[in-house]
Amino acid sequence: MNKCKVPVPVDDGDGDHRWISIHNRFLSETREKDADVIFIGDSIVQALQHTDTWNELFAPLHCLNFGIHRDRIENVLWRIENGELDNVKPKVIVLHVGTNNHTNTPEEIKDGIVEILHVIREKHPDVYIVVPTLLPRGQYPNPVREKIQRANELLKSNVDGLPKVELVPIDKGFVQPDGTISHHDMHDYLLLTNAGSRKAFEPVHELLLQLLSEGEPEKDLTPSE
Amino acid sequence: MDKLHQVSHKPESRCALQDMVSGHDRYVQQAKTSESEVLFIGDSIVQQLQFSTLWTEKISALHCINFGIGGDRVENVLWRIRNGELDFNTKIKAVVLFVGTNNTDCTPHEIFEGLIEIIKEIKHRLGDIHIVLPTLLPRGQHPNPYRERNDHVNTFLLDKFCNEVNADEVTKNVHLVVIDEHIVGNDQTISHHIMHDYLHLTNSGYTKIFGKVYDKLCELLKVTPMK
Repeated sequence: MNKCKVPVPVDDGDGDHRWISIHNRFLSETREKDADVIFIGDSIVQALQHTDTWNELFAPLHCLNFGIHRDRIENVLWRIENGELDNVKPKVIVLHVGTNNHTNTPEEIKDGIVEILHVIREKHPDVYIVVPTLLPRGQYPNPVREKIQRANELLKSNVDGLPKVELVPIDKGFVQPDGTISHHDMHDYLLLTNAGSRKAFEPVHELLLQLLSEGEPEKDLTPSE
Repeated sequence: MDKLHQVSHKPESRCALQDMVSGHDRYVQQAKTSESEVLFIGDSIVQQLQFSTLWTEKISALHCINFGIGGDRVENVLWRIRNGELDFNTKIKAVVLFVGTNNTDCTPHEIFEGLIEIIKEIKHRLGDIHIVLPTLLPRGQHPNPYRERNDHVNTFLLDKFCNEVNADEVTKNVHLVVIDEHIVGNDQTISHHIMHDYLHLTNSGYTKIFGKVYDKLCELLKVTPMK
């Protein structure tokens, strides 16, 4: 059984229940805010929100950020099935999760992401879904990088071509010719710096501009006061 | 349980081992050629501090270097300082030590003893330098056992370092800075405006909370604080 396809919340046990607090806050945001774009996913998505790249490129597009550090595919699936995409009518949903599922096989990762796509599609028949490819990690070549690369290949053959789903390659340009990743791009060889996030997410930004203006050529995308 | 101060741990068990060890290797190299005067060492709250306005506009002017690693526990920091991260070629004037919140499976006393062990190791390697020790921060949106644990550690720290009766070789030149006040609201909740995920600080959170650490450093280094 592929655990990536079974929705599971993060259980803080005797802890501080931060995960459910954050989930509840996201639920409030869906009721209080009008978003054109919702980013949902893991550590990469959450960390993105604290970069200049987010402030400059994505905040002006009325985006919500529902990233949670350490989330696995099955956690994001649970959050979507428990309200985080209800009460909202975004034009685009950006889905990015998978790096924390490095204990799963590439096939399981791909199947889990496809499962999320089905659930999103049921809730939002007309929304555009943007799926940035998974990023390499670790300073030196390592087995997790290979697994991620294989998962990206599977995503390409399974996700590309689904209606209103766009796979955006963002993983090139991080592994240098000597096989290393620079801490100028990923300060801990996992999470993006300002420079790294600009490099990875600029293609996503350009796609969003296109998708948001499609069918609405008059839309004013300048930041509101 | 002696798991903390007897055995320093290289983080074998962390999922992306490669990621963390690479950070350590880089820090060891940086120490050898660094001209910094102040070292910040600890966990993710230290690591993320370097991306804050407080750091870029004020702290960095004190010639600081940041050896924070996300997820680090007390014993991981102990391992790092025993394995090269304090081997600076220039004379360090102050170390800011901030770690402990990730030791969620330890008792407050174990965490306290682990911090004492780190302080002893720093003194052993760097002599009579200043050690700045901020109190541990509360966490979680609502009252919870992790908050109580960190608070309890702080009680031990205050008793040891702010009580003249307990002054000894370990407490000498160690400056406890109370930073955990005015974070929990009257309704006992923590706002996401201070800690965006109820653990890590927002930019304004850093200014408000770590600003006190900056002020203490200025006092110790005899530097006029920037406005």
